Amino acid sequence: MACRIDHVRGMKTTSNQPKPRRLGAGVPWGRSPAILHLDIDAFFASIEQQRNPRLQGRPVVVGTGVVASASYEARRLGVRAAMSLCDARRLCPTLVILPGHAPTYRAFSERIFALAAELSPAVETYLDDAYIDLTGTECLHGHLIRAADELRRHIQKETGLSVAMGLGSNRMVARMLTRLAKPGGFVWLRPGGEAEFVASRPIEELLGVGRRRAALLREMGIKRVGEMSELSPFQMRDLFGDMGLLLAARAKGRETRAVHQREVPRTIRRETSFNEPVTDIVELEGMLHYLAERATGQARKIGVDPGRVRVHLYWSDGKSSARAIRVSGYGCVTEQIFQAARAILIELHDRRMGVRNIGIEISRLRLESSRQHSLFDDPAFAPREDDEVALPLSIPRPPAAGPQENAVRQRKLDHTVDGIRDRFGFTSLLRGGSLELMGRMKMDKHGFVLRTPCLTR
Amino acid sequence: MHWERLDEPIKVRADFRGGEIEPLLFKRGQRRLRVIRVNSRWLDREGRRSYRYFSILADSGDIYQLRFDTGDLTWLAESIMYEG
Repeated sequence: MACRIDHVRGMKTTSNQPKPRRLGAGVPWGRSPAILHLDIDAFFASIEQQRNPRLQGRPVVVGTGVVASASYEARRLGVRAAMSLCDARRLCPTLVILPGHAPTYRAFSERIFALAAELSPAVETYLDDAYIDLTGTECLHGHLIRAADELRRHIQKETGLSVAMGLGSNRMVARMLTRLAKPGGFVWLRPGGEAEFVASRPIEELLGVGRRRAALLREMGIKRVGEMSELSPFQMRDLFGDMGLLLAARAKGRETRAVHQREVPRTIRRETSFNEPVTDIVELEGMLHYLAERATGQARKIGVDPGRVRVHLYWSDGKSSARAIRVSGYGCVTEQIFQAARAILIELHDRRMGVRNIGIEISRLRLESSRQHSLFDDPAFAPREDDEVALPLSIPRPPAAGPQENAVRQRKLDHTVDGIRDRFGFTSLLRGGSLELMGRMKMDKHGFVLRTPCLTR
Repeated sequence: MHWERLDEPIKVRADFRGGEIEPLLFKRGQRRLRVIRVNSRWLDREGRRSYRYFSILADSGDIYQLRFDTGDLTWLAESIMYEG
């Protein structure tokens, strides 16, 4: 079947590309899977340009240290995300650099994803993009293509932000189409043309290829996905391991991953850098405690239990240290995760050198519902000698709580703290460990303002 | 170009119509400033309390960020945008 890509506004057309058909024309989408991918254009920078119209038309980046988001005006001058701000300024001396503000961006993305959820309940959201499963919703919304385009215009009207959208029969194709639709356009491909469309794209655009794999493939003379699909799955496995098998399937336009309403990330990472290198272990512990609270709070919010904790330190001489340990037991308990992270920090902090950046990452996440309860007590929860409180002899000492009982108490405490923060805001309660940061760092209603405010979570 | 924090409680004359809030005029100290344009608006939450934010252009030529607390119905001039 011939592949025909259709689009509205925003897509760059070339002479050999087909002209777009009238929106909503043609046969209905039918019962075939329909996945819509939505991406907010130059997210942080667009919001800043909207908040301050004097920035419109000017090259703007948001970030501290590195570029987190660049406006299209900055991109035209070669500025890219993840580039250092020094390099960006070298490329564009008139660049406007803003530190940004994550809660504002989150407010905008929540609004956009809420509008998307009006089309279908199956929405999988990320920071600035989302997948929406529209399969079988045609009888509800009428023509799918028209409904999707209405969503795009509705978002623009409600929030003033431009979004690019791709509609295809699977999430990979939808995402590749969104790339073509940027900025602000909508591209769709009817079911049946996936293999031909994917084959025509450069290998870098295939999900999972990445820079290193693309470089290897280009060395082999492979530039298009179609050329890559000529390699057998076994050859692909020899080249890239198990990922090769997945890439072989994707190269034929096949992608079977469903859109999950609940996103289970691979890792949850919270980190910050300091304005001045920090040598004081107490301050580092305070920051680690705060970051552990933010990471575990997020894990509980999406209902996952971590199986591994990793802590990293970047020293002021450019070197870095990191270590990870396994954690097991009784769910996502902040104190348990912090104690594991603290043990790593103490082990890593063995140099007479300031720390520039500290971070915690929890991984091997699994859904709470699949938790395997332990038959045996976990020594991590055994009461330590220094935990004992000297009580007057006249007061009978309560029996020491077992590890499992301790864990249950800690879980209840976390649950209560989460509930209070949900109702009154994060800063309504601060744990003792984080008190070290008070007075040293600025606070707003969402918590401490970290050095990269556009990414503060 | 940067936002400077003010956090000044202010009095605002606003239109509440059709579920939308439209700030029209506000008083900062002795100065009355007319809202020329609302550049952007968004909703933020702190726990269950919600705040409506407005980035506005005042007739003085300055861009302000105003915050309306839907809990106690108060207004705040949260920040002002400065060049340089």
